[in-house]
Amino acid sequence: MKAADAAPRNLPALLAALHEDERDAAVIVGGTPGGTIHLRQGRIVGVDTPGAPSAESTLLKSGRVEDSAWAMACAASGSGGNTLRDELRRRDLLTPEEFEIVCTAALFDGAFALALGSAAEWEVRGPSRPVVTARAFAPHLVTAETTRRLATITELWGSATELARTRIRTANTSPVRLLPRHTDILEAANGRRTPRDIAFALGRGTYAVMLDLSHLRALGLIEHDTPPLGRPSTAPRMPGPRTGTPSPAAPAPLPKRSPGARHPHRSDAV
Amino acid sequence: MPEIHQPEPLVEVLTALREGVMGVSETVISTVDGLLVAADVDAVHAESIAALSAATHSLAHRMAHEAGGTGLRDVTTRSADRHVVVLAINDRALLTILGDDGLDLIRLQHDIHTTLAHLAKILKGDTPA
Repeated sequence: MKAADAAPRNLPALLAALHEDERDAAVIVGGTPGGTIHLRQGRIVGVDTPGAPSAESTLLKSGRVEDSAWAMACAASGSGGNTLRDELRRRDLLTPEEFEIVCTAALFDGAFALALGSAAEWEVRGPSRPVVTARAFAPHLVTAETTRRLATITELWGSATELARTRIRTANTSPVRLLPRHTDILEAANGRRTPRDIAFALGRGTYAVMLDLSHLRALGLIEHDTPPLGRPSTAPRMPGPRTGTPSPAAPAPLPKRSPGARHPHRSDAV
Repeated sequence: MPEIHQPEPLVEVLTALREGVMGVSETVISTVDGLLVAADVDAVHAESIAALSAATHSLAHRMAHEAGGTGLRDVTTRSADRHVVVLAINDRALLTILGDDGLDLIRLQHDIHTTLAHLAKILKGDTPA
């Protein structure tokens, strides 16, 4: 029996088993955000998720590559063994190094975004060719980096999952000197956007935006409401543990009332 | 005594959709003849979206009919960094969803039927003008 055929206890265990078997596969991950992890010979080549911008999204939104030029390069790749990386270089749109950096950043950002969901269910399917791929990474490297990122956000902000659900707005403070990328975030933080929404609006990575938000919060430049919790449970209420037996009220004499005296109304007494 | 803010039920449903589906940024409810009913918007001009939604849906309906299709389900417009989805709530009203390029379409397809049912239930109480 191959390693991936045994029921894995979690997603990293499944990816490790697929790596061991050198499988080509697409792992569909459920939850919010869900996504797809693309594997070639057991190594991760891409992560698609609504929780983080793809390499294409980053390149187009940031204006690094024009949409029409990108579309033509995508259409031309694949024919005659040309990869997208080759086409982008041939058309002087991106150097291979730039392409690799953007793809690698998107891969790790996608894995980080997937880790913010519950990832309680998954399904292994046959490989689907992601158009935008560069280097492949062993799953344990991706898992280790994702764990490091989660720990960093937890240290700087608090719960990374909670930050992912938080809608950020700019605080009314006096202007200070900031880096352009920080100013961009302040302009995008309109009280309706989560860090993921800001990342998509600016063409940046979700993790990078979360890091900058932590910095901006430390400077007092952003505000946020606590994200709403889920609806209250309808399960039967269980009495909580009592901290001690309440002592009975000390006996006291009833107040005396005399005719004609003014007795305050209940609301006046507040 | 502080005034208790009671949100418009339609907007409440729209806000829930925005908060529940990643990538949904703005939503507009309009009549099929292009009048604005309710909106959860930030940057777009709701009245313009309402008018364009009516025209978009009408054209798509005609196109589907011309192509031999029946029962138009939705009209989706994809640009490099935006999604626009127009759906019919009932015979008289439309829902337009604006999202970014990372819009969680799988989740949207899953949740949208409940949203449309809620909106239709609220709009059912409308009386003729």
